[in-house]
Amino acid sequence: MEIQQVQEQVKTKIVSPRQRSWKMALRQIQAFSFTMPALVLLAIFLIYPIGYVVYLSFQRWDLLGSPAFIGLQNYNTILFKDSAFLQSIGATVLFVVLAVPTQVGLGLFLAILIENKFRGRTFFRAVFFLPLVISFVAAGIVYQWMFSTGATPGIFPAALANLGIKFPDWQHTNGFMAMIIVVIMNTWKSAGFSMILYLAGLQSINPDLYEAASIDGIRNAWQRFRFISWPLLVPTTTLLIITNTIGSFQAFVPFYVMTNGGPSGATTTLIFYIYNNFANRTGVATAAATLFLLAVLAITAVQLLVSRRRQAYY
Amino acid sequence: MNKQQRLSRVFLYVGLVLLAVMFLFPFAWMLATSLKTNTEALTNPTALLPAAPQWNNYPEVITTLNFWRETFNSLVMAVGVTLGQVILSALAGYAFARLHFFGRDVLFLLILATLIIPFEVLFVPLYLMLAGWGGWLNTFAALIVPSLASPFSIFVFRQFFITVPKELDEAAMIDGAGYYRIFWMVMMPLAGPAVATVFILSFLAEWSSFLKPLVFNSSPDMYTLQQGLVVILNRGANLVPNLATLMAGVALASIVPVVMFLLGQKYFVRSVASTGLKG
Repeated sequence: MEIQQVQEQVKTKIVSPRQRSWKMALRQIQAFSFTMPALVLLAIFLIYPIGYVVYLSFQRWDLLGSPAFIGLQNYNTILFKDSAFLQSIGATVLFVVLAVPTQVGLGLFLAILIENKFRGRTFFRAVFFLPLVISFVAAGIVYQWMFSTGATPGIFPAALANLGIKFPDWQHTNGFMAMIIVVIMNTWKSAGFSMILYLAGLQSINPDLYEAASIDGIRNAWQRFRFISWPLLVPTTTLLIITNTIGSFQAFVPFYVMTNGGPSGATTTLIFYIYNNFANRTGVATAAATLFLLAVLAITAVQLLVSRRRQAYY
Repeated sequence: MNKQQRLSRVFLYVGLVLLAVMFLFPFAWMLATSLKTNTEALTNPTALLPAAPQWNNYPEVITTLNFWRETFNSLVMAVGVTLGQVILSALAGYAFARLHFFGRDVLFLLILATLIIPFEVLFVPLYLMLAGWGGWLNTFAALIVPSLASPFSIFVFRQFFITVPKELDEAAMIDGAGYYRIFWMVMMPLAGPAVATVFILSFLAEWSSFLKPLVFNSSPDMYTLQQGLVVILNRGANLVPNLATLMAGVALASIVPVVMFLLGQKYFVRSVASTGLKG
């Protein structure tokens, strides 16, 4: 609109053409200046560090002295020599595979339960949402000690011991169980997020569709869900799988708090590996970070492609 | 309501109550444990309630945790980042939604692409940068400045400003207002919902953040609450902590977000739902 305004001014000879181009350039600069503070900060603290990570991944550096170029040696180290890196990939993938379906699934279940209006709906929604607002540190500490199998057993292992059942010792020997405990905590903490997005998705479904379906002979709740809600929720499900996969890929805090990466590295995730190495083997840590970055990009690309096709299919 | 509907209603309530108990149990256990004596917590783990509530655990943990100092640090970090994000993102979001300049859409796409890059991948270079600049580590500047610009917050504001009717800024422009005036006098007063979303999401994220203070802070004076809980209480000199005061600490550290949520439940739900627009 402002461009037209200036053109009008030229036509009516209020400003000359040269003044016009000067005025328009000024407008552009003014407009651009609104983005400057954010862009400068993004360039310094987001774009530059990405380049820095990649650069460091080709250097040998222990933070003392100066970095030295060593080509692909760091990648060679993490991929073929340091079994801890491959183990951390395994731990991360296992966590993603367990954590994403459980939190999305529970979120969907909760959303369906409280979809319709009934007395107490807001209360239940608040209860399921509540774990989302506390920190992973707080949640992690509580679950760590509720399930503790150490010298001071937590309430669940102790209660099972009274019944003569031995709780798997996730804090000292059973690495898989340690993963399960973190997944339980994560599901409890994060299901509310999926629930809210599913509720929004369910509310956007046109009620006429259900009515039409009941005329077509779809009567029970399961069929309504299977043939109407579920297909229409595909975009929500896709979004949740993408966000939660990327989120779970980055998991560090729950493991740092609850398992410290153990027992024997079974729960040392990728970010944990980077954290463990960044001070002494910066090159190795940044090579891992670079691969991680590539993986996140690949996951996003693949999932975007898949979701496009799926949406076209429905 | 026919008999079948009534029956399914009963089942629904029973299921919901069971789930609610499961969801609330960790909170209840945390509060109950925070009121036990430490011996009680360690030797009688299956007893849910304390024999006699030990309110003393709270003053005790406030001292051992250096609670007020850490709360102050957490608040300065969270409020600083949040306010900065609101202002910077609103400015940028307004320009991307409403103004015309060369390369605008390419620039915006570039910002969108950085949405998926997490702090977790960048903490090593960021740490090295801050350490290299000298004097940045162990300061509020290190906790606040790198988090000030957020692609997500810019996105939220842009999406909001796009929905504001164009007539409003056109009218202001005809009245002779410049971009800055329009931004402050016309757009910002309308931007309440976007401000609320960015405020809630970024405050929660910062209040809960742990990796950032863990890496950028080594001085106990700068510990945030989350950092104090883990470093001082959960991994203290003795590996088995004082369980009762630890839970009192966790409870205290959770008060701010929980109270915020109880006061503004509607806005929290709306903010989280709006993250769904990302896709």
